Amino acid sequence: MKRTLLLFIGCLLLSQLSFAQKRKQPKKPGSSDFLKTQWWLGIRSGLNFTNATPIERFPGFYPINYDEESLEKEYMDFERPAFHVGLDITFYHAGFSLSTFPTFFKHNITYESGTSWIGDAENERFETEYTTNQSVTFIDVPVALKYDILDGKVRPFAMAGAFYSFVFDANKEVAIRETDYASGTAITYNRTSINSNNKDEFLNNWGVLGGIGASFDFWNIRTVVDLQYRHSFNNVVDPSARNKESLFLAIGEKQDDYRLSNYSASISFVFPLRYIDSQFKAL
Amino acid sequence: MKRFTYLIIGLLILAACKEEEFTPEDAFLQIYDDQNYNVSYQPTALGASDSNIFILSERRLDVSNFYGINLITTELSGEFKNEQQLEDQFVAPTKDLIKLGSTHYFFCMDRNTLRPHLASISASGDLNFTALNMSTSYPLAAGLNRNNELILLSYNQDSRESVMSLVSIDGQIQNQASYSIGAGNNVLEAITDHFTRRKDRLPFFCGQAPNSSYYFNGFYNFTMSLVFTDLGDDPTGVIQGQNTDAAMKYLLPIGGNNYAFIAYQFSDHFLSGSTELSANSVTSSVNYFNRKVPEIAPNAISKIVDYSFGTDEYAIIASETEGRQVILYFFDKNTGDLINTLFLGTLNPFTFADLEVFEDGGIAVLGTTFLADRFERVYLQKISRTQLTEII
Repeated sequence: MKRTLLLFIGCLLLSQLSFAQKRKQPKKPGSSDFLKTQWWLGIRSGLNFTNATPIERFPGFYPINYDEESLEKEYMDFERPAFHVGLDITFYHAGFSLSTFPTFFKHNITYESGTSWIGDAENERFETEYTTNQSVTFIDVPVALKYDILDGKVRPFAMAGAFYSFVFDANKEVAIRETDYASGTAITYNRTSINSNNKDEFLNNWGVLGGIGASFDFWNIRTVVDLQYRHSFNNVVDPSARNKESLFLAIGEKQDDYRLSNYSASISFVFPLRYIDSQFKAL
Repeated sequence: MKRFTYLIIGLLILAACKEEEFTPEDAFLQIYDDQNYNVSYQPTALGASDSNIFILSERRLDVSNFYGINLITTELSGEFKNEQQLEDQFVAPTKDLIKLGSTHYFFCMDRNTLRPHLASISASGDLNFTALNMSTSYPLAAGLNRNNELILLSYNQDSRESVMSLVSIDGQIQNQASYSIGAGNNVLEAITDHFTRRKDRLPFFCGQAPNSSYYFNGFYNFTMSLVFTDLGDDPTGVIQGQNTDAAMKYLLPIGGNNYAFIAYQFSDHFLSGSTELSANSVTSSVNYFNRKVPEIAPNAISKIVDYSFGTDEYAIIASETEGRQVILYFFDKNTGDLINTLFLGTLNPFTFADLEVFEDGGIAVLGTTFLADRFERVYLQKISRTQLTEII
């Protein structure tokens, strides 16, 4: 944790240094140095889709006389889009770029679970179904190496790297539907929806990333579009918080241990730092 | 940019200051579900060995109006291990699991002969029953004296007496004293209603006072009374209730003649962290009515346990609120002052059955919750010593 903190602070200080460079005597655009070595800074945003892969499953309550597997959650793969926004800081040299994009990265996860109670008579049957929408926002700090495959105004690239994510916020909403067989036939109705912050249930995350994209140089702005895949290696759910009293635990909604994988599409608008004056205009 | 940097660094430091972590055994809420639509669980008592937690529970029987007995065993993390349904010959367990060494004890009775039995639960969960050599009677409450003898409060319908017995752990009666419920009065109906739950359960309890005398809350002289006795022919003191409509509900001796208690007067409750009770005269429970506690539900079960942090000693009074939450009052035993109040339960209704202090310094609360607001199931919630530090 401390090492990662220092690494991230180091990245931020590097970006500070890049600002400091703007006070140096600017070189004219078009010089070969401009293309060979450059710092880029800008904003970045996009959409992403997340999948949660269970590592270990935990039922919402302990069944005394039926199979625990009937309480297992069914996860929806890459179903709900989420938004991310942050910075794009890139150092370019001779076709290679070292990038970091500190980002508020939200993951949306959806899963369903249910159970039933059954008596001897046909009308002694009752079912509940939970649809859980879990969102988790991390401050994501990736470091990636890019290689520009082609040179020119349009520059396709491939990239690979790793990321460390600090959990920032989390929110869970559980929609409850119930089915009552009191009259012999199934009557289904929406019971209620429970929404609460549950940041304490999550841990920091890390993993690797890879992707492809292209840069477009028009005017004095570089537009970068990329597609990335992220794969985390650790469980993002805090086991020590799983059984602590909460709104959700009281209704039998308990987190499994799971890791995340994610597809994202992003667009960045970045400026060349070495040629920007104090009014943020390109020279 | 600098501001942004400071913001990010600040956020990272905040993220690094992670809240304290708990092991699974420290703090948890577990609910135990049964898929049977018609089943309803009634937990009564809680205990823990080095490797297991025991939950004593009652269940309805087809063959008797008395309730049968279930024993749920869990890991120390509350993870379910197994459930034993005791033979339906044994019914009406007393509402405490009394721990001596690594064995837990409770009393119950044979549903045919009404003869009391001593039941023991080994550390691994094995059950053993010993018939007590005493006449027909209903086991009402159990306690423990300082000689590690079990105290049994029972009712003998033949002689119409409340009976206090000291029982060794092998089931031998060591001492016994009986007290008449009063001529012409019949409390059998109230007692059988207590066991069969046709009406509300009555707050029977018993124990040993600091001066080595004994006390019991049971029928005496026509009414539910708190009776102080040295096991002689007559009580040394009585705090009378009012029929079954007013009485003490639970008490904990805290030194001298001082007690932490909770009591009821019809649908009202009153309680105290430390009050001197008269153990040598005849008084009335309403004499100790100090303040109405409106949040406690009528007929709620209540219990009081000792708790200590080093030299600081507390009495924790547990009960159930009108809003179907469990409420814990933390009192300083020395001053009698209320220190804090803790509510348990959120969306689902939570009822209270028992409260125990575990050897790791945590406390555990047992009761029922209603899944889907209709299926009554057992819950077990443990609060860690660290959490209690923050509360007290």
